[in-house]
Order: sequence, then C-alpha cells, then structure tokens
Amino acid sequence: MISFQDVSFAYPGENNILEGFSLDIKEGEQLAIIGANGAGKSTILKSVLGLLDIRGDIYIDGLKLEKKNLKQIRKSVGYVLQDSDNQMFMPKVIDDLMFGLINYGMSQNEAKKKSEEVLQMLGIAHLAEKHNYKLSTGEKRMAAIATVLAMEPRIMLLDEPSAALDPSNRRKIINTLNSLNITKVIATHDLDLVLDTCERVILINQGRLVADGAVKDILTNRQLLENNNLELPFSMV
Amino acid sequence: MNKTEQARLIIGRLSEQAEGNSIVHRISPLCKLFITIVFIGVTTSYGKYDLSGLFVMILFPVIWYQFAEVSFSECLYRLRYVMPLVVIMGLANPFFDKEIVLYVGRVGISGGVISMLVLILKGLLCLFMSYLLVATSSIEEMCIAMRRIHIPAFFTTLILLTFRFVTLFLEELSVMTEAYQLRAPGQKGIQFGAWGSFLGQLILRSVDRAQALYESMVLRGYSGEISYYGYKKYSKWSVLITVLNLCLVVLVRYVRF
Repeated sequence: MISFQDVSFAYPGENNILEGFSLDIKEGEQLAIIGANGAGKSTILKSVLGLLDIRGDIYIDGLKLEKKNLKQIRKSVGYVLQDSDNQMFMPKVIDDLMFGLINYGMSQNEAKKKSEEVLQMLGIAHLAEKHNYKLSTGEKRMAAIATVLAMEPRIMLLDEPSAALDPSNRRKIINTLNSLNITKVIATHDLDLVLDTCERVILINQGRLVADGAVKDILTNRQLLENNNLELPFSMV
Repeated sequence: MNKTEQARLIIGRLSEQAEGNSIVHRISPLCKLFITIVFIGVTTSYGKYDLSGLFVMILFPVIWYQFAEVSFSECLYRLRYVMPLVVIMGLANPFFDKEIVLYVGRVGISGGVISMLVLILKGLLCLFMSYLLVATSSIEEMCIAMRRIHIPAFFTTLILLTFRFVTLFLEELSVMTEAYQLRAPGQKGIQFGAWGSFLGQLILRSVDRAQALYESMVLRGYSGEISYYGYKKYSKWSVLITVLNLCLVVLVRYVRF
C-alpha cells in the first residue's frame, strides 16, 4: 500500500534526516514508527504527503508520489499533525471538518451531514459549533482526528497522537484509533500507546531503519531500545 | 493574562458576536456591506461646514446598534485607540481656516472649528458603522460578500489569511511574552536590548506555524481559493431593509425640510 524505495531527505545545507530509507506497508496494517527525538519520524510521514523534496521514490496505492498524483494521494491519505493548533484553522470545529470535504467537491449540505456523522461517531458532537480557540488540548486533538476522518482516508498518518494528553484523553484516542478499520501509521515515542494500538513497529535512528518487526519482539528488546535512546514501555518494566 | 492574550481573545469574541441572531445579524452580509459602503459614501460627501446636516446622520448608527443588539459602550471601548487618530485628523483645521462663520451669542466660531467638528464627526460615524459591520458579520461572510461583487479571489483570500495570520501571530507573541516575563520579574515589557532577538524569534516562529497551517490546508484540498460556505443568502427581507435604508440615507442627505 505504501512503498518507500531508497528515500533520502535533507534540508538545504544540512545532514541527511532520512538516508536510504526503504519500507513496505501493507493494506490494513497498524504500523508504529518509533525513535528518539529528531530520529526522522515526522519526516517519514511528511514525505508520504509530498510535503518534502525527497530523493528516491514513494508509491501509495500503486501511484508514484509526484506532482500530478498529489491531489489523489492527499485525498486518500489523512495526516494528523503533532500540534493540533496547526490543524484547526477555521473558526469553528464543524467549519474545519467541512473545509476539506467542500474542497474535494462535496456540496455544502452533504459536507455538513458527513461532518456531523463523524463527530457523532467520535462522541464529540457537542463540539460542532464550538470555537476552536476555546477547545481544550484533548478536545482539539479529537477534533483534529475528526477533520481527517471526515475525508474518509484509506491511510491515516498520526504524528505523536498522545502528546500532551491526560490519561483519560489518551485512552480516548487509543480507543478511537483501535476502532478505525484502516491502514494507520503512527509516529510516536509513547511506547505504551504502540503496545495498545499497533501490530508492527519500525525503529529508526538518525534517519536510518534500525529494526522492523512485531511489536512484542521489538518493544521487549531492552538492549535495542536503549541503544537507540529509548526505554522499555512502562507496562513492561 | 497578558495584553496580547487579551487581544487574541477579543478577536475570538468578535467572531462569536458575529454569530448573533438579531435582525441585523440575519441580513445578508452583502446587503450589510452595501449599507455600510453607502453610509460611508454619503457621510463623507457632506460639505465641510455642514455640521447640522451631518448631525442627522447620527440617527443611523443609533438605530442600527439598537436593532443589532450590539453594545455601543463596548464599541467605544474597543475603538478607544483608533478614535483619537480620527480626532487628530481635524485638529489642524482651526489654525488654517480662521474666518468667523458663526456666532454663538457673542462668541465667534471660525470655519476651521466647524470643519474640524465635521471631520471628526464624519470619521466617528464611519468608524461606528464599520464596527457594526464587523460585529454582525464574520470575516468569512464579508469575504463571501466581496466575492459576490466580483472582488478577485486573490484579494479576499489574502484578507482571510491575513486575519488568520494575525491571530496566529498574537498567539505566538502571547506565549513568548509570557515566557519572557516569567524569567524577568519586575521588568515592565520587553527590555530594549532584547527587542532584536525577540522580534526575530517571533517572526521565525510565526512563519513556521503559518507554514504548518498552510500545509494542513493544502492536505485538505486547498488550491488557492478558500471555499466559502454557511453564507446567508439574499432574502426579500435583506433586500427590503437595504432599499429602505438607501432611501432614508438619500432622503436625509439630499432633501432639506
């Protein structure tokens, strides 16, 4: 479903953030990308969406990542940003959900109906008419996920979905993620979240793929994790 | 709460206020824009000594504010920094135009004083009606209204994104000011020596966030023009009010009783 082939990326005049990165993600897979801060997790997600000028090739659903395919790719790949404030730019939550739908040709009435359905599904229908600047961090994160889900993506990329959330909101996010029956790629260093949501995990360090395997194999390998500036998940200590 | 945070909340409150349900809120934004433009046009068309004629125009904001259920005292409070600028505009007139045109009792009043008052009144009236437009229509509604009268999409999108950027800029400014103040107890404002790096950081952070926002928009299909929705369509009611207002304005301006 997503295939990275020898992908490298560097900001002008800086060292490579991604280097010779290759990976295949199958349809329906729940993949976690783990690594310490600055390992290149967010860069991998952004590269799938054509936001970075990469070297190498990426294929999504058989479509090569290039300018002419961008619109189609971005319609099928939803991206939940690390900072929800950057995702919510319309005055109200419902406006934000409708924004993408209308841009992709849905009528206003259909978009509104669809948006309300998604909010209902996530249990946040009461936020529809709320102004974005008045939302709490947890509400904002749920609303940000809703803006992406409204577009009915086939693949969902999430960047640190549990960052800055209290335990209750974190649990809510985990339950929501588990209820979604689509391909998910989660970049995080919250290893307990990985245990709860994913089947496969890749570990990266300085833009290179270090390990790729089942969650239970990688997250129990203390030596591997510590060599890459991570620790065993709390629940396994 | 620092002043920047307050400013950000005021912007938020203005957006909320624009969602009211008064008679004026229900009028189509395009009609409101038209009413405001006509009012400003007619108000500024008064002669420089026509103070008595201009006084009648005060009726319009008074009536509109009542129907809009917008607090006039709040308007005065919000415009407290702009109003002095309007007053300053006319201050030079009494020095240039000293010819006495009117006597109140034995006191002669020069043309400069009258024209100063006319200028100030014109400025304030235009300001009050513009505020009413902002308080009863969201920025999106105004952009849609402008698109309806064929103002280029580039221009309306620019207005909308600038508005968003200002909010974002204020957010960043608020966070940075708070962080600064926490490590500079007893200091008032930002120390002069720190202005350069503070401003540089602020611009970098704001641009960074603006870039993230832009990416987020692009990922959801944004291609250069914001799709507007939630627009209040023309209703007979809106058109009727607009025509009635137009007739009244023309009547007050051009018919002498």
